[in-house]
Amino acid sequence: MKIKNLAMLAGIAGLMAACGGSIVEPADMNGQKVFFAFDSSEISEDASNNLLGQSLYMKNHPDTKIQIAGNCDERGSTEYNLALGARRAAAAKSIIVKDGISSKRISTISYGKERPAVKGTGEEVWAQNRNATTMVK
Amino acid sequence: MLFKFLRFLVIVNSCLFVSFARAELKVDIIAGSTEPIPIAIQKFETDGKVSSKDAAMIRTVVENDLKSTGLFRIVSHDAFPEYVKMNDMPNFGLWMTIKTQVLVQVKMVTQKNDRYKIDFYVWDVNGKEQIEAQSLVSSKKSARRMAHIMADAIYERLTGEVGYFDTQIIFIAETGPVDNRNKRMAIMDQDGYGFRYVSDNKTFVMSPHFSPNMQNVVFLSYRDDDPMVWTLDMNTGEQRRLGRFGGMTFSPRFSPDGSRVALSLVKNGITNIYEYDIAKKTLRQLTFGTSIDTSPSYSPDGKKMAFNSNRSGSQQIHILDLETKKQKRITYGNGRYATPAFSPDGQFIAFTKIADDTFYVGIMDENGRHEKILAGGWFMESPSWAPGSRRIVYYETEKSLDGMDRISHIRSVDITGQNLYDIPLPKDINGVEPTWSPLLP
Repeated sequence: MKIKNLAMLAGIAGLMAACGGSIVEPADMNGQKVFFAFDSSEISEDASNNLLGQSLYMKNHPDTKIQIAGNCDERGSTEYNLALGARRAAAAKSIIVKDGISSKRISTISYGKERPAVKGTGEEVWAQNRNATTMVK
Repeated sequence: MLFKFLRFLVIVNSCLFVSFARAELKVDIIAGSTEPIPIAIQKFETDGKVSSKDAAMIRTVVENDLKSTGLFRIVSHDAFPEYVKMNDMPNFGLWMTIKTQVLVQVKMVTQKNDRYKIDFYVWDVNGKEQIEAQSLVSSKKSARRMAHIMADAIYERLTGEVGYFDTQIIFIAETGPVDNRNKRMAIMDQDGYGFRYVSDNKTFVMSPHFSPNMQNVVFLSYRDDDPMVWTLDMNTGEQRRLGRFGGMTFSPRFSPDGSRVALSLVKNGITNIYEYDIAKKTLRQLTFGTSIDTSPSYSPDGKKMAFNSNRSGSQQIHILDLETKKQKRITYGNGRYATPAFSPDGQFIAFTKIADDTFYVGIMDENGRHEKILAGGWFMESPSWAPGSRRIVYYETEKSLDGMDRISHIRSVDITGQNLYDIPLPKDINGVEPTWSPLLP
């Protein structure tokens, strides 16, 4: 696999870390990402573990507020992707809320396919761009 | 003032040479791939005070408009066998020898208050009769619009269809890298002339759509990181939030009478279609359930709405009867379907289709039958209709070779899938999400 840029490398590192199957509190919430299958907002086991780690962070940092942004790959119609991104952000949020974090601490936004994490084309890139990304507000 | 509405005096003269015989000359758009009709537009006769640059420009614009349809061939000026003065009869035999079928004579004079008056006569060479005579009066600043109005009149007379040259396209102009795009609203004439931005370079905006009278535009704005539908007043340039509805709103479309705006509203991650009544300031929910419902399009009579939904398990086009509330799925072809757009005459729905990793734009009837693909490529979407329902505009994104950049073109194609052309954009600007205006007021 050809590594196209640093963002892609970071994404792969994130994916590998998520494969551990354990819940780890992240050192930095900014840029935490969970990934989705094509045209799906279903939370995978890896994604769930990552989000529960984020939840752990929020329990230990009760003043932290976050925004989760839903993103899509470029292989869909623009407006449909705005809705799909909203679904992904809401699905990610619901895992953290179900774990006991107040929904008031988590806002969501959808960028559809407008803010790709990784530039380029092809399934490896698209898999990185189908995500819900956390930023501290 | 962003937009100045112009008033034109269009006077239809009685023909000088009256003929009651029905003209044989009729250009058929639907048939497709017919031989283009040779048309000759004479050099304008002027009063000597008219700017020769303006006269030449108008002649060129009329020729380019007609040529762009693919239905006409512009006869080379060098081949013209004679110069026919206004009010003289053409020597039809001479024009027949160079196979000209339509001859246009034009007289352009100046008037007080900085105005031009244009008289033009359209001759059917084979029928040996004058088939159109009109006068246009307008301010000199609107000379280019006079050209489009003249081209519309000739097109309408020869095809029997509604013209679309005196129109504009609103779209999103993209600059900057793919992962940090700058997106602004821009407007240009349908031939690409007069590009100008109508929103600033700070706010990320998407999905602009004109109101039927072109006084307003609805669009999605990411202002304050709070994505919602806003309106732009085309006279004042003022932007206003349509309303706060307790969630992200997007994919706005005006109703045909301009009184309502259909949009998608996200609540707890679920996207349904709602309708906002502008005067009453009330919101009505139109679709229900947990599927993704977006990209609404009103039928021209306002009684139905086509929309995009994945309620059947994949992205398909559905139609909602706004009176009975009954909805039905209309697309069953191979692939996914998106962005339905009712034609102004209600005869067709234009759509985006995604199948076998290829994107297409096409048309079908409102029952999903008689599907016709007009164009296909790596990525394309968002067909929008020209007045007259005989042509669409859409955008196409090229698959870039290095995978790092994305280049998008605004393209237009007629409903036979022919006469496809690019609408020229300024250098280094990508055009996406184009919407064709109604005929200018």
